[in-house]
Amino acid sequence: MEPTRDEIADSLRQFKARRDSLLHDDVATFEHHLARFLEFCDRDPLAQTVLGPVKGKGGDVDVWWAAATQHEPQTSFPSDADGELELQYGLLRSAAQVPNHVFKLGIAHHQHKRDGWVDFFRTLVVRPFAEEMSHRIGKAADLATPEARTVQAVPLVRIPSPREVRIFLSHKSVDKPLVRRYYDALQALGFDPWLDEPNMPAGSNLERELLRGFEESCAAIFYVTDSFKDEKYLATEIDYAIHQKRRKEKKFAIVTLRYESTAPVPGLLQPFVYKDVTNDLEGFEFIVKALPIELAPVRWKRDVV
Amino acid sequence: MPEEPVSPCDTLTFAVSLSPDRDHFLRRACPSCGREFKTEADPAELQWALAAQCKRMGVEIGEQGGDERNAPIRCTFCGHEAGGAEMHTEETVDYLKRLIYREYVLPQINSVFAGLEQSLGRGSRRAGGMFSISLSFKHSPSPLPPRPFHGPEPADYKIVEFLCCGKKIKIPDNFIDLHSCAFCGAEVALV
Repeated sequence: MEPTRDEIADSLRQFKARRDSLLHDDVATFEHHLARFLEFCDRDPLAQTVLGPVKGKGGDVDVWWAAATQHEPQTSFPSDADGELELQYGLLRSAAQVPNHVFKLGIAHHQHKRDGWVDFFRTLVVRPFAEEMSHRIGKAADLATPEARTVQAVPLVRIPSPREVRIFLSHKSVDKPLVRRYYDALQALGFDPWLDEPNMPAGSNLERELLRGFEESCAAIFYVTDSFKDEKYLATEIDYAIHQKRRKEKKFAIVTLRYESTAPVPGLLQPFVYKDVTNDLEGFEFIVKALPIELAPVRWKRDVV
Repeated sequence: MPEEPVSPCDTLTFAVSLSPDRDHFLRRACPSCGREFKTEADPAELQWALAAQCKRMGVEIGEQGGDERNAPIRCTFCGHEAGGAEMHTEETVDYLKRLIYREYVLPQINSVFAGLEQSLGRGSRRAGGMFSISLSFKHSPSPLPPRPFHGPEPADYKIVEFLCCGKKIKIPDNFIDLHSCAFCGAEVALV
């Protein structure tokens, strides 16, 4: 079974603690820390992913001790990294079993105090082993760890109320099929469009509902076709849009899509962005870019996880 | 009064290497509540974050006058605010102590005792007259302890991107109770 991210973090924490105790704690406790470090290496799954593959690649430990403790000592290691790691691991194990090895190594190298011979062994064998292990176990941990998830911390001032992010779709009744396509597409993306038909219950006061629609919106989209005339309710909607723009400033967008280039854009809308569009996709892209709101980061849909 | 220029022989150079995780985040610990989180590791800021720690051991590192880079961080758990240099983990602090002891303190001690040995040796040779006292002092320099390690650091926790100032931190996966930005203090909500 694959280790979890917490288990991997725990392995690394234990590895570092035992490594540092072995390298830096008082010389009097060296044997104790050596035994604990080796016990960790033998049982920890992450450490074993590093040490398992190098098994059998090192040289003969007894031969090394004999050469390193003779009158003219020699302390050579295999030139390949795997062989060196395995030999060092073997030397640590044999030093734990026969502490006299460390003493004899120190004496052979003119260290006549316990501090001296332990530090010599630490420098010659323990530290290089710990350095290579740290490198390899860190890589093994990264390989076994999934990519970090990213979440966003959004400033509260950037989180609007649901009652201020609707998108008012203003149009002539005859253009309803066109506007309905926009309504469906905006809704599918997660926006909250306002269209008279679904948003005005039967018997409601038209003026009041229109005003409420604008007050809850962050944008008004005007669909200018040959049928669009700046009169009656459409004139009221333009007035409401201008009023909201003055009140909400950057938090309200007025967007005009002109479907027929011969259709006149009402004078009050001309100071705001408008675009001649030849198809819905073009118009939709223009709207999304002009809106003062944006959608949340990408996530998996609820029913696929 | 103008400061005396630092001569090259007053300058000690040694390598300090802190291990960030795979995503380049460095583990921090709040000095107030003790809980851990991570911030992005910026080598330029790191020098000053380390400087304060080294100063406690009597060592100045880097060029002076960069305290403004020790920008405060708010603990994401308890809201405690402290300079980045105050938010190191125990592991990092131990690493720095060991490194400074090895690279600076121990050589200084050895140098002081070597000088004492030399001066006492000279003094005993000059002794003369009716009464003389002979002093001798033998110093065996302490061997340098092994160079310490920092890391490896696991790539744990989730990344939180603050949209207020564009900076990022890492917090434990199960932590969702975040109310303010760790850097600019803006009120935030996790989404």
